[in-house]
Amino acid sequence: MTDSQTRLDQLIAELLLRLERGEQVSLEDFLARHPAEALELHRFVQDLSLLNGRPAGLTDCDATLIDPAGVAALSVSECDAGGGVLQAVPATGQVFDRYELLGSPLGTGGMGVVYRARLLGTGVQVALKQLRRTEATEQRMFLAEIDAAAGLRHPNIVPVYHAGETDGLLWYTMALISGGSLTERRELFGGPVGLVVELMLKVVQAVHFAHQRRVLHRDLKPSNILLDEDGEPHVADFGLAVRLSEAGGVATDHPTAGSLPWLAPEIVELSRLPPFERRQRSEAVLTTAVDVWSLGVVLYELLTGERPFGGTTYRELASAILSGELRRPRLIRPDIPRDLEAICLQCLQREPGQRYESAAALARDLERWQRDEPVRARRTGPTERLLRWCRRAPAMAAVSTAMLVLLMVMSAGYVGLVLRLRPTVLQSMQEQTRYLSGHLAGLVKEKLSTYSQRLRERAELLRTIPPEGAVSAEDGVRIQEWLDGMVTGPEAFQNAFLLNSQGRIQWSSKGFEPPSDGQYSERDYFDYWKNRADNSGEVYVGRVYESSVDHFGKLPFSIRISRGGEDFWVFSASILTDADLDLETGSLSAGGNTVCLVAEPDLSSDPEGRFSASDATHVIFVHPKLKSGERSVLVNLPVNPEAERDADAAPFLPMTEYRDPLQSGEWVVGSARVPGTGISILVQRNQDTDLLWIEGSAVRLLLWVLAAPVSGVLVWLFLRWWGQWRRSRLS
Amino acid sequence: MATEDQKRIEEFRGYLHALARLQLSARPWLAGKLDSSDLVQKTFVRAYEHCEQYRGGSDAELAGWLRQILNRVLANELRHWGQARRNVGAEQSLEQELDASGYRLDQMLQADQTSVSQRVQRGERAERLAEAIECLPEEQRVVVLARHCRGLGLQEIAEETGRTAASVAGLLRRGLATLREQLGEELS
Repeated sequence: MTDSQTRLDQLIAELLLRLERGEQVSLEDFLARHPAEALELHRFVQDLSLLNGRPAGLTDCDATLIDPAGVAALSVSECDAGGGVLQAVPATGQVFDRYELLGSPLGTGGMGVVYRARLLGTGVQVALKQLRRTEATEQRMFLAEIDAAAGLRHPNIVPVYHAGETDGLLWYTMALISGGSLTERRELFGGPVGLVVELMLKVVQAVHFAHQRRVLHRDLKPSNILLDEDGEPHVADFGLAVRLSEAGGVATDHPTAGSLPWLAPEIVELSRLPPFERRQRSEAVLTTAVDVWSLGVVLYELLTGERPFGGTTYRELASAILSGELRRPRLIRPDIPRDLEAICLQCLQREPGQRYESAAALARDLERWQRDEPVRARRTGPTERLLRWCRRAPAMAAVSTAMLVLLMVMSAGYVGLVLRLRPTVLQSMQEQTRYLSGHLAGLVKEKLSTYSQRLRERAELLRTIPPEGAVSAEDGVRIQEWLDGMVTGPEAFQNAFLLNSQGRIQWSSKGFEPPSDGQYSERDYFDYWKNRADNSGEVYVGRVYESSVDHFGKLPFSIRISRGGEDFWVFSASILTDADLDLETGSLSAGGNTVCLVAEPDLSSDPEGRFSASDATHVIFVHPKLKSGERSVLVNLPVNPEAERDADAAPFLPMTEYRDPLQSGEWVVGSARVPGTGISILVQRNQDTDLLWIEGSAVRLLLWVLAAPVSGVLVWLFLRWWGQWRRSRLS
Repeated sequence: MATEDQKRIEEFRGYLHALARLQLSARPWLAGKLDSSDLVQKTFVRAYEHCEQYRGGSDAELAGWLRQILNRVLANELRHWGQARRNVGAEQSLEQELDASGYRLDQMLQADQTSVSQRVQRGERAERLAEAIECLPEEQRVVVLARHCRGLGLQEIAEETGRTAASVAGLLRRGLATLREQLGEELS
């Protein structure tokens, strides 16, 4: 009888004596305190219960019991099970086929013991694992282990060399990994994060390699990860490994086997079911997600130096795994990168479907972390992604930033320039129009003076009529002829008439028939002369009036002819305001300018009350948009107070945003008075003609600056969508 | 007593027989002096005599009633042969002890099964269990019977056999493991 058996029997005796003394004993806790004997203890209690019912006082026998076959698989190998046969401990020098044992066991694992061995006749050393049981079940499992491990050739999986049977005992040899297991490398737990990730990545890739070959390890934990002299990890101990069926599930006699601290919650849950249900459900539960969980636990341990779930008893640990709070790794070690924490927690999702769908997915995320790319486990905001990208590609980021800044500074500078330029440009436009209007005023004066000249010449003829007494019939005919002559030929007036000193029309040109009782003493062209002497040369260009006879707008010219004493005539002739005075304003307008003539209205002639009803100061009577025969248009213009005193001053204040009543747009306006008349020239220049191209270019530049990042984002969105679409088509 | 009742009682013959065998096996010093068939026969005679005491009801009650009678018969025999346990004086406590052990076996054999065939099966199973126990190696059998038929505690068995508690536990463990292997499927 071996020591371990004595120990087992002592424990059984202790348990029974305590129960007989009337103590309450929790089987679960009892097993947890003696993990090495848990398997046999549990089996004994089952046997006891079969024959005699459950012993009084023994609690927690079924409800939360973890399959001890799995929990204690590593430590029970030396126990003699019910019908098992304990074999003598092999001694140094014993030969297994071509291998010779060297020294005492390296360790016990699964159902067997591992020795250092030497290939006979060589110096080649291997590890030899021997099954120390003879039950058919155990042999079957051992063969399954060999089967699983032998099919896996991967640099990070311990390779299997030979298998054989000696003295009825199965054994196999594998590579001797001499650096011990991860468990013995305490410095790695909570050690350098980069090193941990590098190590785990290899382990994860090895596990994925096994998964690809339909092998589920089921017992991943630090003690099953061996390290060689170079620190390379090697996944070992496929003692609990099972083959995944085509459908992904597994059929096994021990669906709940595994080591509790690394056991996935769905398996812990499975272990709470009655045995027959376990097997039914195991197909659905035993998937690669189980190994992903275990890898997550190992990663957690390595990152934080602590186990994710704690508990002093089986029950506590099991319920912690099922529903306990999982402390975030960063609470234990704040310097763990956020993304790595997320990767770890993604493995430790209790719902298998929420874990990484494969070990490969986990490996890819670990690689992403190594490359400082965004990981799948944690959605990051655009800002952080941008920062990461900048960290990854600093040169690119620097160049892009520099270009962006340059672009922005340039466009801001340009906009500033344009804003400063604007008043200058308007100023120069103003000067231009002022100059042009002055020039045109001269032309208009000349044109008007030809009319004035004609009037003056006729006036000389009229002065030959003797002033004394009534005008003779003969003279009357001559006067009529003279007046009629005014409305024909070049520089023809529209009408001509002679008023007496009471403002009544005495004669008028043919075709113009004022009412016989017409009284026009209030008219500007008459009123001007009331209190003025006839200084024989002066022709007055009066205010524009609206004819009460034919309702045309008219520009009157008048002259006083003395008739001796207080008596006088006023000889007046008018031209229609829609005559454009042959100014060819159209051609002047071609360069973006509009030329128009405005005059003060004669308020005494306002038959329809147009003038008095509006606040207009002036009337536009020549304008390129004003067609012949159309009425003049009223307009309100800011009168320059300077103009009262200084005849050369501009009649209106300079305007840069003048709204023309006849056409759209904002206009810069310069004005000049036609000397000796109430007529002013307006030269308008559209703001846009000179400002549009510089302001427009600034706006375009700004739009481009904005469009650059926007189009970048659009391209990025498209590429992302495209990638997803391609992936969805592939899967 | 109605014929159906007699027939029902008759169905418990196998069960009673196994019970008697086990009780006798637990007391090897009675070997050759008492026979299990005799015990069962005496029990049945008494049962028929006192069938008015039987209040009907479930199989479990009937089994319990029959077991009580068997225990009384056995206690009488034990006293007759002066082989009652040295440290148990009173007749009452002897019967209580027998009753307790029998009750445990009852649980094991699921005495509340109802159909005729199940009752027959129970009898057969009880027989097989008795047989299996008798086939155990001597030391293991003594310990198993002492615990499960005589209801002795580990400490008492250790004193009686002059072994350590751990060694008794070991014998018990292996004995039970063997029983499980032989009867495993039937018992579970």
